Amino acid sequence: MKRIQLERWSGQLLSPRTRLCCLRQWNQSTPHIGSRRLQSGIGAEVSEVLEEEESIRPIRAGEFASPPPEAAARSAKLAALHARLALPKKLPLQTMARALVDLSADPDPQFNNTALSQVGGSLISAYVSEWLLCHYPRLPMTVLFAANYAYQGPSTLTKIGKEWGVETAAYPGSEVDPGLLQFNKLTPGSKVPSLGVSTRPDYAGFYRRGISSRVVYDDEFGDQIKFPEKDTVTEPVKQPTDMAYSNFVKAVVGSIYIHAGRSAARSFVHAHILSRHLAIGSLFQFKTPVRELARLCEREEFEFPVARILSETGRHSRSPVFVVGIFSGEDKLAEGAGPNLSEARVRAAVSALKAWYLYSPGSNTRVPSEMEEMGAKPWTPVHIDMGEIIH
Amino acid sequence: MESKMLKRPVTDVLSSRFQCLAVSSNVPTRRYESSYRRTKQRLNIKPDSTFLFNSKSPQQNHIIFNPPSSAPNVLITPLIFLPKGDRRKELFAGRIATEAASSTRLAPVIPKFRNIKIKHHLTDKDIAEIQRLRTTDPEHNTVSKLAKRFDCSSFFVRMCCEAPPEQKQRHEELYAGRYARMGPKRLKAREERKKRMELALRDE
Repeated sequence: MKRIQLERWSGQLLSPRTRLCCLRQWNQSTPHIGSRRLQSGIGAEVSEVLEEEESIRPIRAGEFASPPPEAAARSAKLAALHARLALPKKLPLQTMARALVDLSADPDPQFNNTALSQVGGSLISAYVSEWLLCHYPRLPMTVLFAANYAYQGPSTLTKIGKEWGVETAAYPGSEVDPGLLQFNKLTPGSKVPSLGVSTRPDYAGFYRRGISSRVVYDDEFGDQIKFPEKDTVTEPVKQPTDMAYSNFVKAVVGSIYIHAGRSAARSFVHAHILSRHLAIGSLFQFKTPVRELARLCEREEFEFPVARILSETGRHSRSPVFVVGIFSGEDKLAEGAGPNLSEARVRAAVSALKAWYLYSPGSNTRVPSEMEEMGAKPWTPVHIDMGEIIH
Repeated sequence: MESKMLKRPVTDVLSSRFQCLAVSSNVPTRRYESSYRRTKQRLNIKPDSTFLFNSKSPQQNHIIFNPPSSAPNVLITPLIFLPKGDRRKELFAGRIATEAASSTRLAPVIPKFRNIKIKHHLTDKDIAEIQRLRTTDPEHNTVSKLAKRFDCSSFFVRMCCEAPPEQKQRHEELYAGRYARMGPKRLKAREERKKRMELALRDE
């Protein structure tokens, strides 16, 4: 299989002015409009290749929407962040600086992190999802959505970004230190702007948005994917802090992928996101656990689950305790304790169902992305479950 | 240190035998300087047999592992739930065999939760009869009575027929009246039971 030469691509990420090989002069006569950037790469404005020293030009404050790429090399914060995260040396500081510029700070897609975060977000989503599916093959879809959200949702990524020591700039601009996260902050108490219309074909309100359709149409959290409306006037967008942080963390993963390759990105995701502990057992909520367990036993051809009383104390007292075990034939599935028999049985049924759903083939289960590495052992199929219990 | 450790339990056992029996008779509720020694003696109950030294216990310093009883961990999958290819099934096969050989009879089934086997024995005629009985005299022919009479579950009876609206109204009034007469203790207990059930569904 032919491998993609990522190193050749990554050069595109550095804006032309930062690359020594093709420093070009931009047309000085063109008037500057607001915070719009003038690209050296844009057709008529390209004049000729200049020497490096000639291209250095003092930048006036407020000239650009975000710090110029040259400032990245001088920023202590950025260098410290790069060192702290032990990022590969192939990843330049300029790209790191670009990962810190949000869409709301600089609308120019050549200078903000939109593309990087798109790549990084897809990678994180793929690695987290495959890890969850291989390690907990029986999780119900709703729990899988919740677990995905807990691992890579905006609030978790915000926490990760803050743990890395990244702070936000009060207001974005070219004079700001490039080591700060730059975005146009949404004022507290104001309404979160709509992200656009849903991409679902059955967008109309009368359609039922079931779990199966979420798997097909919606994102990894089971939420609708929004697409901005075409005819809306592009106002300066404002971003909530968690979205800005999450875009930044995704962009870091994306830039590692572009500059250092797939395996570096994968190990980064495993080290920073999948290493976090999530009590998946706490994400469950059942409605009719006793009936669900009966359906499960019927489906799997086990004997009908029977509630047996294992022990009890203080039956006629104010606070009795009953310990009820649920048995399928002679096998004990689970046990639960409660102050009345019904509650104890419900608790036992819930833990039996959780024991079923939380089955894991082991912590050293292989995931499909391990096969991408050179010299990987032949793939052995992972356990694929029949699906959750329908009752 | 060593000799002390060895000596103490033996003396404790000897001294606590009859004290254990005496505890229930008349324990002073308050401690005074005068009663301190007696109270201390009476509370000095015999330790659990696992903590006592016997001929089998190790002679050197050792760790006592005696955790309190607790519910099994849900992350440890019961063997019956393991899929066919899982290696744990063969690994634990020996242990299961020894356990099965030594196991005593199973715990008793809770009567009110016993399995009502679906027999599919009721015909259309029976169902019509259930409906007729329930509509004509709902006061006398309650769901549970009908279920017992036709040897089916109350769930099935509820599927077949519905109580007439007057009966429902009467029932609602009856329960509302009962609810209104409840005191603060009973109301609180009801609320707590409801909350506990919600927590149980989340396994908290």
